[in-house]
Amino acid sequence: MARFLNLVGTAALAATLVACGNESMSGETGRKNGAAPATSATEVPEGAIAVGDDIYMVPIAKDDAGCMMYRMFSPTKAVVQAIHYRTADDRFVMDQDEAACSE
Amino acid sequence: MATFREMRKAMHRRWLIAMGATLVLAACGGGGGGGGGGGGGTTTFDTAEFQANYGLSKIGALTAYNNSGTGSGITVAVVDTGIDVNNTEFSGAIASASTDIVTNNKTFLQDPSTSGHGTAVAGVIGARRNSAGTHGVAFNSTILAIRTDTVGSCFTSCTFTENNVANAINHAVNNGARVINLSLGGSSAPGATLQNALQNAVNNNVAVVAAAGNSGAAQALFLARLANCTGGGGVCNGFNAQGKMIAVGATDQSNAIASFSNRAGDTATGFLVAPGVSIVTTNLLSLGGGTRTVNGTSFAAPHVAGALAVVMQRFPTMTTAQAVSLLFTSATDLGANGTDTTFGRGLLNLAGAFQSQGLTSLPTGNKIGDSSEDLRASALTLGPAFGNALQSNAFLSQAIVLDAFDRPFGTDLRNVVQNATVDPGVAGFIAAPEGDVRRIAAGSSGSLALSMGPAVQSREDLLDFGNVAPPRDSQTVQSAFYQGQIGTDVGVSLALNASSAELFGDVARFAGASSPFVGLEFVNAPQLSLVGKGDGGGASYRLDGRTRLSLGFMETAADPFTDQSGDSLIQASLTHGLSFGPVLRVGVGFAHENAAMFNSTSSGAFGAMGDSESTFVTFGASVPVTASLAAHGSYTAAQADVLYANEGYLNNWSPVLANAFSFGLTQSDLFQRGDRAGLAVYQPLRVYGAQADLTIPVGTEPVPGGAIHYQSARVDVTPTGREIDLQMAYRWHPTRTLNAATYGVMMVNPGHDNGAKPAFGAGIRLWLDF
Repeated sequence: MARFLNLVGTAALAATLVACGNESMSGETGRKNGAAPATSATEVPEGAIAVGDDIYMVPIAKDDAGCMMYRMFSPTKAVVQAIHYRTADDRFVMDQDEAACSE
Repeated sequence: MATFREMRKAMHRRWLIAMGATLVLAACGGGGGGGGGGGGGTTTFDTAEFQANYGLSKIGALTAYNNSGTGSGITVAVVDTGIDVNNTEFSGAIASASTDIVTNNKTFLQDPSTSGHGTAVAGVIGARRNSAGTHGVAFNSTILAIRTDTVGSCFTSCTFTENNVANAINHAVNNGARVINLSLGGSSAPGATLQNALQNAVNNNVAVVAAAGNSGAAQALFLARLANCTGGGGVCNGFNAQGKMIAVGATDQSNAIASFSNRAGDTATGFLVAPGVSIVTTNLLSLGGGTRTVNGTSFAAPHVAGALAVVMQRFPTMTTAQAVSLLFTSATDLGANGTDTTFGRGLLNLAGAFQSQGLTSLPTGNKIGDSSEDLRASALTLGPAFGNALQSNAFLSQAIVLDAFDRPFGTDLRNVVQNATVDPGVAGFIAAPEGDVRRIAAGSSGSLALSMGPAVQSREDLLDFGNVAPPRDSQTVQSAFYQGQIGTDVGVSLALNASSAELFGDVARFAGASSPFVGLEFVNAPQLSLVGKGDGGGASYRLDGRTRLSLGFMETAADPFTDQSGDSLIQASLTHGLSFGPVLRVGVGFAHENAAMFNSTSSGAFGAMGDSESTFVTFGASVPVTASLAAHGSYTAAQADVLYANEGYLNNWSPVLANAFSFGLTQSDLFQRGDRAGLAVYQPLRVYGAQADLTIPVGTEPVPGGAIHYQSARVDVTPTGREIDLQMAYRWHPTRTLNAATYGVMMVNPGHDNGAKPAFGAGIRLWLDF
C-alpha cells in the first residue's frame, strides 16, 4: 500500500529539493508587513521550488529568527496552509527548530 | 361696607439663606454577602498546559472555561491529513465516524509522519486537558477526523483534490459535525462538486471555517474567499454562505497581522484573525510526541473552529448563523476602525463572546423569539410605603434575560426593582416655592393665595421642545388657593393646580397651619402623598361649638401627552373638641391612583400597574397639657386594591394593608413670644400585608427557538423593617420681619429596611416678609 512508502517518499523529496535548491531565494525577502505583490493566483510564483507533481514551496520571507519561511503552492490542488522550513538536508518541515536558518 | 378693604399685599419673598444637610448612612441591600466560590472544588484553568499555547489566552479562552464552555458534545470535522489516532491528547476525542475519505478505510486515518498537519490542527481544536503538553480551545469537543489527502501525496507534500474535499465535507455533514475546519486552500475557485458540497454544509447549518492562506496577499485563498458570499456572481458564482462561514487570517503574539497571512480583502465582513504564529500544539508520537511549534493560517483557523464549538455548546439556543455572527460581533477590532481589509472583523475574542451582546430583553412569550421587553424599559418602582420590599427575595435572582443572540444570561431582577430612596426631607424643606406667593384679601373673610412663576407652557409647547423658547420674563399664576368663610359656620376652599397638602394639610398637621414639623402631614394623612398637584375644593361645616365636619375633593391634571385621567382624592374628617380640652379627629380618605398603587408603578416585562383604589382611616387626638404645651397622636390604617390584573411578571395582588402613626409634643412661647417647638416620633406609611404572584423566566429549552421556562411564586411585597423617625423642629422670629425655621430628623431603619444604618437630616431656613 502507498501509505507504507512514506520513508521512501521522504528520500525522494530530498533528492528533488537538492536539484532545485539554488532557485529558492529570489525575490520576496523583507516583505514582512506588506501584502504580496499581485500575481496571477494560479501562476507559479517566482522562486518557487518544485517538490512534487505541480506542488511548490514558495519562499515568503525570513521570520524573526532569520529562518526562511515557505508556503506550499499548487496551481491545481488544494494544499495545507502551514508555514514550512527547509532543513539542512533539504526537506521541508513545519518545525522551525529543524530549519537550517543560516541560508 | 361691601367695598374692598385695603388691599394688603404680602409678598412672601423668601430670601433663602437656607442650609441643609443630609447624612444618609443607609447601607442598602444589607447583608447579602456570600456568593461566589463554591466549596473547595474550584477548577483552575490557568495551568501550564493552558499557557503552553499563548493563543488560548490571546483569544480569552479562560473566560469560556470559567463559564463551562469546553465544546463538550460538539463535533468538529477536521478535513485534513488524518490524526495521530493513538495520541493520548485525543483519548476519547475522536468520533467513530472518523475515516480516510479517499480510501474509505479507517485504518488509514493515521496522520503520516511526513506531515502531522492534521494532528497539529486537531490539537488546536480539541487536544484534551490532561496535564500534558497543551490543550485545545474546545478541549472537550469531539473530533471528526477525515483524512482527505491524495494517496501518496504526503510522501512529498500533502495535497487534496476537489472531489475528495467535497466528499469529506459531505461526510462531515452526514455524521453530525457542527463545524468543519479547512486548514487548506487553493488558488482557484472551486468547481461545481466542491461548491455544492460547501453549499450543502451551510444549508444544513454546519459552520465552515477556512484558512485564509499564507501568501501575504490582499485576498484570501479559496475556499476562505467565499466566506461572505451571499449568492451573487463573480468569485461567489452563486454560492451563499448564509453567514455560516468564516475565513481566518493569522496574527502574532502582539496582535500584528502575520507577515505571511493573507489579508481580509473583499472577504472582510466574513473574516476573523486568530493566533497563527508560533502556535504550540500536538505533535505526532512518531516524531517524538509532546508538542511542536508551528505557523500558518492553518493554525489560526482551528482557534476559530474550536471557539465555535465552545459557543455552540455553551449557548445551545443559538443557531449556527448566530454563533458565527457572535464571533464577528464580539471580535476585538484591530487595524482601522471597524471592519477593514486587513483584519476583517478583528481578533477572535471568546471572552467577549461570553458577554451579553446588544440589547438584553426579558422574555414574555412562550418561545425564544416571541415577545420580549427591553430590560432597560422594565421596572417595578415601589413607593416609599413598601420600603425595601423584594430586595431580600432570592427568587428574583433566578431570572434570565436574553441578549441579541437569544442567549439566556442570569440576571437579578432585584436590580430592576426600584425601592424609594430614603428622604430626610431636607430638599423639600429648604426649597423655595416655585416663584412668588402673593396673598390677597378676597371678600370680607377670605384670602386668595396666588403662586406666581414663569408662564406655563402649553401642551403644544411641551410637544415642541426646542422650537419654542419658554417665556423668560412673563409671570403667570401657577396655582391659586382660595380660603373663605360663609357666615360663621361654613368654610370653603378652592384650589387650582394646588397640592393636596395645601388643600387638606391643615387638618393633618399637629397644631394646624402653625405646625413646626416638616412633612408630618404625610404621616398623619398619607393619602396626601398619593396625589400631586390638582384642582379641587372643600367645605367645612361647624355642627356645633365643638364639632366640625369637612369634605373635600381633588383631582390631578390629566397627562398632557396621553390624556390619561389623573389621580383623585376624596377626603372627609370630623373634628370634635371635648369639654375638658382634648380634640379628637376621625378622617377618611379615598384615593384613586391611575396606573399606580401607593405610588408604585411598573412597566415593561412587569406590565403596567393597574389602577388602584385605597381607603385611609385616621384617628387623631390633641390633648392640651398646659396653656402652651400640647400632646398629639395619630394612627392611620390603609388598604389598597389593584383594580385589574395586568399581563406582566407581577400580578394578582392581594389587598395591600398599611399603617402609619405619630406621637408628638408642641410647645409655644418656649424661648420667645410666638415661637413654636415640637418633638415627634412617628412611623411613615408602611405596608405590612401584601402579596402578589411573581412569574419570572428562569431558563430556556436548550435549542434555537426553544421554550421559555417560567417559574411562579407567591411573594410577600413587604419591607423587612419598620422606619421610626424622631423629629425636633423649631420656628421663631429673630426679628419682626425675619422668619426662621429649623429641624432635625433621625431615621432608624430608614426605608423600612432593618439592615439600614440610621439616616439623619437637618436644615435651617430664613426668610423675610415685606
